[in-house]
Amino acid sequence: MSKSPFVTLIFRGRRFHEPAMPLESLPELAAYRDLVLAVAKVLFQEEKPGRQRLPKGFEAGFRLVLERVDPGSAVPVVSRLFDDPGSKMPLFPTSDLFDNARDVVERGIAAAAKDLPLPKELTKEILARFNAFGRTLVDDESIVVAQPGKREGAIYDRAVRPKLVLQAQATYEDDVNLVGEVRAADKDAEGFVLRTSDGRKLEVRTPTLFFPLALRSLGEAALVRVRGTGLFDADSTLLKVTMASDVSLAEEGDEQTRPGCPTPVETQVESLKALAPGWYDETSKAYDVPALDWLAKLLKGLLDGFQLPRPYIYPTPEGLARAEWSGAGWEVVTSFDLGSRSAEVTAARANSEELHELAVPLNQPGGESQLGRFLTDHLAAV
Amino acid sequence: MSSAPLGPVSDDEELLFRQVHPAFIRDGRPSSQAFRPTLKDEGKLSVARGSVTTAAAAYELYTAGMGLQSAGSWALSVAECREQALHVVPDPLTSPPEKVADPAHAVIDFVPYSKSQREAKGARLAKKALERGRLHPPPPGNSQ
Repeated sequence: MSKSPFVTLIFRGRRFHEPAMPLESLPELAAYRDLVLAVAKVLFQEEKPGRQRLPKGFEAGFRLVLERVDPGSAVPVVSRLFDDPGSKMPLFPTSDLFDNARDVVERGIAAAAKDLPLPKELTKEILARFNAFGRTLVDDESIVVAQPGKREGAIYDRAVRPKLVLQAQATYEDDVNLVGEVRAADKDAEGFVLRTSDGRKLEVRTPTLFFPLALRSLGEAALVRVRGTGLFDADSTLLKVTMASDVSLAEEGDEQTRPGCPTPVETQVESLKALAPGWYDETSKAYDVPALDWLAKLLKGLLDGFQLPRPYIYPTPEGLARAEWSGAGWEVVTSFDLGSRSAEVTAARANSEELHELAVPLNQPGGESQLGRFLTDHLAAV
Repeated sequence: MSSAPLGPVSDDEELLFRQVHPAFIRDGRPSSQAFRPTLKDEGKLSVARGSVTTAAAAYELYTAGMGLQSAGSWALSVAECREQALHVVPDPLTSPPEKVADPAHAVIDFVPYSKSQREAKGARLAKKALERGRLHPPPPGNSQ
């Protein structure tokens, strides 16, 4: 039996600084293997259109192993095993289907990242398989899919993945980690309705073993944490949880540390930069880029410094930038005047007429702290 | 707007459809500014009455009929407006003078309230609309 380097997958991001693979990321390697195998089957059918079946041992002959993890981010070196040294797919002596399939996957990822047409071998059935690859990546992480021995290749991340999947279908799947309250449960339908902290009601399909806890949450209005697979539309809106892998009681403080908007602040602010003059009506102007950079830095400091959930950020027709939070008991809206570097905050209690206000200059010492304390007080309060 | 004054809408169950600009949607969540008047609206928030039209027809009229941008129809109920001490007044539009007639048009009256009160009421209404979800276009994969 011999081995030959097949692909270099460079995992980038905070979790991968050490030359070691986190266990929770290992499914990515199996998903990658399945993807390449599926493409190889398509290539075989293209080359042998008359054949109804794959050659015996086609699938079993494609064996990948994690040979080692190299330093410089976590770099799992994946090799291919061969029974007969030097042999590849015997039906095709001049080229190897699995090597070609690997290259198609890499080219497809690179093309999707640049919004270019995808290789024709990436059929809808193949594109749907990208649902399983990259599922464990979070916002600041990516996988560089490179040729063996190389460190440069196609970059696969949470933005590229839906671009591929959504060319095959109207929705895509991703991991979810939600905190909320169960509002209805149906054992026959194997599901319940979760009301999340921002007020959305989501259907959750779940194995029956989690039902007792769901019923407890329903009866006692207890917060639960739901992990599993979510279905998202093209706008990255979570439509439902297609299968919960874990339902557990939320920990103390989960109300305060709820993640808020799934899109990072920097990405949200970037989208404001992209608004052209006239985006709302004939009087609406484009945003000033340095002012938005100031806002992104300010918000990031506030979120990190005060452990705040991520706000939903919007433009306004008047040229302000608006950050909105839905707390456990309060709806909080902060309007940032990017010219005067100031903010006006309105906190409205959800179930009464109570209203708190704050106007704060952010270009003076202490302004940022004042804003952070006001937000913390209202987002932590029930 | 029409000149003949009409009495407030009184059926608590009636839904009021609100069109939301695409820039006011983030990860499926509409901004609460879509549920209170802007500076140009003179304190009155336009909606379409559910007793006269549908979420789909209101969306079509707004986008194809009036040529305006919308990410979809969200809805509030008359009862939810009443809880915020807001009156809903029918305001059917005729053509001319309007470009397109809209017999379902109505307004939610924020005129008596200050800027911060309008903001607070809009935030509470947005929460209700978000809980109800977008009514049109229906989300893909929605089994309901």
